[in-house]
Amino acid sequence: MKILLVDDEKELVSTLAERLSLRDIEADWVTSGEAAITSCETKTYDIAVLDIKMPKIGGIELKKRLEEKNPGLKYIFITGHGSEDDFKVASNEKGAEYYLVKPVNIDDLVIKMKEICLKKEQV
Amino acid sequence: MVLKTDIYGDNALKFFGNMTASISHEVNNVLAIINENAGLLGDLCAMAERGHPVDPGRIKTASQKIINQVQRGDAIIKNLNKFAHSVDEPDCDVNISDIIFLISGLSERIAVMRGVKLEINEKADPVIVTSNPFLLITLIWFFLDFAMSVAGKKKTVYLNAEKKQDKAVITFSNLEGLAGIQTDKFPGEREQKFLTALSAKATTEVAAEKINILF
Repeated sequence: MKILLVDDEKELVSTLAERLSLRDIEADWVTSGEAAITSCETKTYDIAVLDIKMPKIGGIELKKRLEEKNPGLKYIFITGHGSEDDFKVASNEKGAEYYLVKPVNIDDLVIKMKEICLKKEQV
Repeated sequence: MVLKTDIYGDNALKFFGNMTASISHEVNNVLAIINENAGLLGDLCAMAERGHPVDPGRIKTASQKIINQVQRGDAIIKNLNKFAHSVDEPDCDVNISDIIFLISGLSERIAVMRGVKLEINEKADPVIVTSNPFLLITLIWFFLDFAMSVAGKKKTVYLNAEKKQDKAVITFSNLEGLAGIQTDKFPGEREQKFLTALSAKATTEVAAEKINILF
């Protein structure tokens, strides 16, 4: 399982990547939508974890750009905004596999990542 | 007084809402980083308990990141507290240099999201005016919001407060995109109401890429 973490808060994504690596999950991290697009041009990921609110290219717009060239890539959105109910509706409309509200529970994140990979394998 | 009550209405409330929403997002990010680093410390402890060697440097780095975020959160909360207390007194002596520093702090996340950097002179001399603090903050925010929208490719807005002769002057400069704006578009009706209520006036210097508020 290979993950790309995208959030403009460097201290957040770098630590999250470190914690995932301790769980034997390979995770790269970047702090902008542009860097995420570049990473996806040279590497193949199973899942991109995208922050909704980022400067220049937000998570929803980034997903649109990434899915053009990465048809197999799956998405998890994370956000600090709004109520969970509001966000659930928004996420479903945009077609993300899952959404998580910050602060993220890493066990929930890992479970969701494994579910996504299991679904991919079944397909 | 009727005018002041009136302009406390939609515009000021909208500003208050936008600002507190932005701050709450920033506080949430601080908590999220603390959460991850506290979690990492827990992960490293669990590793040590299982007999795996743990590099003390990783513990030191994670704890330092927590300390940094607590300091960041403290600064955000202090700004929020000052902002909340700005409605306490209708009119009082206000240091505009402090207000600019406060607004710059409050607006940091919004500026980052818009790809704009805010630069202020942190050692500016005090510039005292007698004014309504909340209306003053709201007015300065309207101008800063506009200044960020005309920052152009330079993407840095300088804010300064100074005493010039008998006037207190707030300047927003480095506004490269100001040349492309029709001069009658800004300040608009909303800003004019606040300027009138605060007995202030605005000037635009297109060639110098500046807008000023004079008290």
